[in-house]
Amino acid sequence: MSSTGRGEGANHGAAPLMKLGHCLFVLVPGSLRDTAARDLHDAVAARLAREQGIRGLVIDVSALDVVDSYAARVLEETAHVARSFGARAVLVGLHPEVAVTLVDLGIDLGSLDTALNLERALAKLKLRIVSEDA
Amino acid sequence: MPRAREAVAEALGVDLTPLLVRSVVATLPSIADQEVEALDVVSGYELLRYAAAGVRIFAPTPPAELLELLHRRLTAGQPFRPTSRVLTVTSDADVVAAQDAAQKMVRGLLKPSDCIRAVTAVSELARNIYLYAKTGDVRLQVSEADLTLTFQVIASDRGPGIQRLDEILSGAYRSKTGLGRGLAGAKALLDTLDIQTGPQGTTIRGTKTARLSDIARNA
Repeated sequence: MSSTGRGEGANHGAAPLMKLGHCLFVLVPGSLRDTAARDLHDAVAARLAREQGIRGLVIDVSALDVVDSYAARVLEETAHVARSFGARAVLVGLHPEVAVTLVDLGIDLGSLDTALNLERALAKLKLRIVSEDA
Repeated sequence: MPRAREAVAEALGVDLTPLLVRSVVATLPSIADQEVEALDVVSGYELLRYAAAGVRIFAPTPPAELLELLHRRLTAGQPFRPTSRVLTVTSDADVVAAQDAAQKMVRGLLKPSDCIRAVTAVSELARNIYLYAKTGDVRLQVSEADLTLTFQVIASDRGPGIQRLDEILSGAYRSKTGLGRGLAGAKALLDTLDIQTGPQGTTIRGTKTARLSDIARNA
């Protein structure tokens, strides 16, 4: 159980969003306050509305040690927003203990695709990072 | 009463040579400079884990049930005194603070998956206070008896009470915020959950226990 990024002063800004090709990456901060969770959701929506042709949203949750029912719902809603803009959402970096806890909680992340790592997430999204001379 | 460092040295001296004892004791953290009586469950077990890890590094054949053995010698079979914390919940930041406090308390005492279960349950209960009662307290405690550790969370508020409790606990109810699964979730994540609710407020007690032998396996 890592405690990275859970300390005071860490990750108080907006969640970092990065666009690469047809894909948008979002890194969910470790200590997800409700306000930060709403900001994440809104930031993703705003970015998808502004950018053209984004087909995939990769949500990195590896910094999340704890996902309670509220955080799970924010993730589901973020995926839902992505879908309404024509992008498919894939969750990466879900800790095994967190996944088990979600099952105990009775939360079905069925509306969310999950992948073990970024590479597999991109494979799922059928997106590849192609270099210039390829 | 001797300082914990000397008490550990004495406990180790039964099986180990003076040289090995000195090596292990040198690796102990600063909590070892307290009196043994001042140690609570969290600091006591931290000390035991360090001592056990030291023995495994320096001793060629560490004795079985090392953690139990050291505990028995260090405290003459007495349990460490309980560790407790009370947090006031009035905002979403306090929900995160409750998560962090719970995590610090159970880390190393419950097995990793149970740590996350306990912390998630605390988060659900703290969030319910903030969402439905606006303010309340979350009391966290770890206590020890008969080589069993019990983590307890007591969430109390003077809010309007929980309506349709049976429906909520069965998972059939969805509140208008779409949540409603927090309480049922906390019940599933913990070993016991007792709910007293009425128009004067709500008090929820939950526990999760671990055997010392399970802790030793994770130490």
